[in-house]
Amino acid sequence: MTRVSYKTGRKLKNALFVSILSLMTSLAVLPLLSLLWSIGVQGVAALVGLFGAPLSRGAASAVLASALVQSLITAAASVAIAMPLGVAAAIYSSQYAGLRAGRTIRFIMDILSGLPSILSGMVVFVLLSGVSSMLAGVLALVLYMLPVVVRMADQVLVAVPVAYIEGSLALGASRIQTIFAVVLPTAGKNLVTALLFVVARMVGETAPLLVILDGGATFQGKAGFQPLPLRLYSALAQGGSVSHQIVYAEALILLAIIVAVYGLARWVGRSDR
Amino acid sequence: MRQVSARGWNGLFAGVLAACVLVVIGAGILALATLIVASAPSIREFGISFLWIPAWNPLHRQYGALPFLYGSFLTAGIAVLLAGVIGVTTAVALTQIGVRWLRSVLSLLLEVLAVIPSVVYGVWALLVIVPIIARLTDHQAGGSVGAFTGSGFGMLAGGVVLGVMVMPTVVAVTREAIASAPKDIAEAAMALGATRQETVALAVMPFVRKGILGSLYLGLARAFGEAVAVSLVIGNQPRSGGGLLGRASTLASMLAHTLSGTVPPLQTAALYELGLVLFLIAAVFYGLGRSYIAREAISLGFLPW
Repeated sequence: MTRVSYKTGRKLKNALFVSILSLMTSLAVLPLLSLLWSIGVQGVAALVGLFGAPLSRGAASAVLASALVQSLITAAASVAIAMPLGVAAAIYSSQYAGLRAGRTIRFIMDILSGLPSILSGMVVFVLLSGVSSMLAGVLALVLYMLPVVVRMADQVLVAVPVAYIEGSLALGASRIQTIFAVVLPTAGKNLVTALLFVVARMVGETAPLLVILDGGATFQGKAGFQPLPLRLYSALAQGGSVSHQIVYAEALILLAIIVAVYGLARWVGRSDR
Repeated sequence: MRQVSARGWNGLFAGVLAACVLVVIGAGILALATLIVASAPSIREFGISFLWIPAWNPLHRQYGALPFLYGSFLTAGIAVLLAGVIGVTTAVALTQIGVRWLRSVLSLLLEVLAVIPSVVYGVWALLVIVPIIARLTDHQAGGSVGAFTGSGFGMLAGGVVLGVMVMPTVVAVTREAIASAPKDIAEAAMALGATRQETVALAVMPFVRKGILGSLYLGLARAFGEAVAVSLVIGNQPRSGGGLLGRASTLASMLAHTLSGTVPPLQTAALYELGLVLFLIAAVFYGLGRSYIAREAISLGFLPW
């Protein structure tokens, strides 16, 4: 009798455990579904509204196109600066630095990548003494991305088996030849995935741009440079002054771009799963 | 002859790479130095008491960090509580129960959560979270227009958004910890007839405590540093005190909110000092989190933002 009830007790406990876990997992996924649903519905409705009416079509497409182009230019420029620099630093820390030096570099990069993104904008704002421009936005993004790029790339490069490197060196290849013929090709796919993750995060990043573009700049000055996330934020922060339709449309477009980049990253790194 | 020149090239290459490392580190040091220099007038004026001056009142040239520390710690606390409870159990669920395809679909969804930009979270919070909180708390407003409670904006809304944003970090790090826990002990427990629950409680959890702690610290760091989504829903009112439903400000949300617009020099310096405080707190939490985590993975959850 007692044995049976003990056993059912255990089973009940296990059933309770499994149902709590399932419940919590659904709770964890719920925000994403809610987000995709609400922004999807509102965004599509807004796009239909804006592009369906001939009057608003021209203005809407002009605004969206200029925001998109500015976003892409900003992202491309910061990637062009941060990626080579960051990957080069990661090659050093993973291939050249000794054990202790490598650990020190990683530790410093960890601390630096803890820098909240809003601060990088503030720093660049001071350094350029308040000049508000696309260059300032790009520099802020670079400042904030660099340690992360180093850290992610280093992680991938360290994972290349030492035996490959030793084999290459033993066959008489130089360090440079080993890096370009063995290390980078071996890490290639993972490296691209890691860097695409960083790009996905960076395209939607608002905070570093925010301070530079708003601080001290007049409204006329700001109007010159407004990538997508920034337009979104300033419209929402001012509240009501901008038509809501375009806000939802922009949110949807931004979301679509970022999920696409993320999907690309997953696709590139797929066979490693 | 050829060997010497090859060695020369190698040396040059290594030198260029080392220079890149120095540039990155130098940029970080420059950033920190800039923050310190820019906040110097405020540091000189208020000294260490900046941390506990309980008001932010530009009219009286009174600037203190206490209201923002209050807002930051409370919202981050709500966020980590939510993300900790839901995130850790989800991580256990994704590794221990369920069919494989469902697990991988759910993991993918949670990773997408990590890639969504904070401004889009802001839009979602304005669309969904703020109205829900407003509806739930409406009776407290007593129908008065412009009352602080009942609007939905405030500390709770900020904390909930942060919780959602922090969750992927907690899930990813905890999963990683579970994955690196020794498998044979869990298998031995199962072989002895332990249920799933007993296996997890006795043979898995003891090995992942550090990982969970690390994930919570990383979550705290991220919650402290997040500015954009929070500033859209928290109501932006620097107050020490005031309940969960009251409007408030965090260190980061204050920076996002106030630096948009011309502000007098001392206030700018005080804002930069807020930034400095923010950096120090975030760095401590981030460092603590890192110190608990042994293994690493290429995962978005590990990104520090």
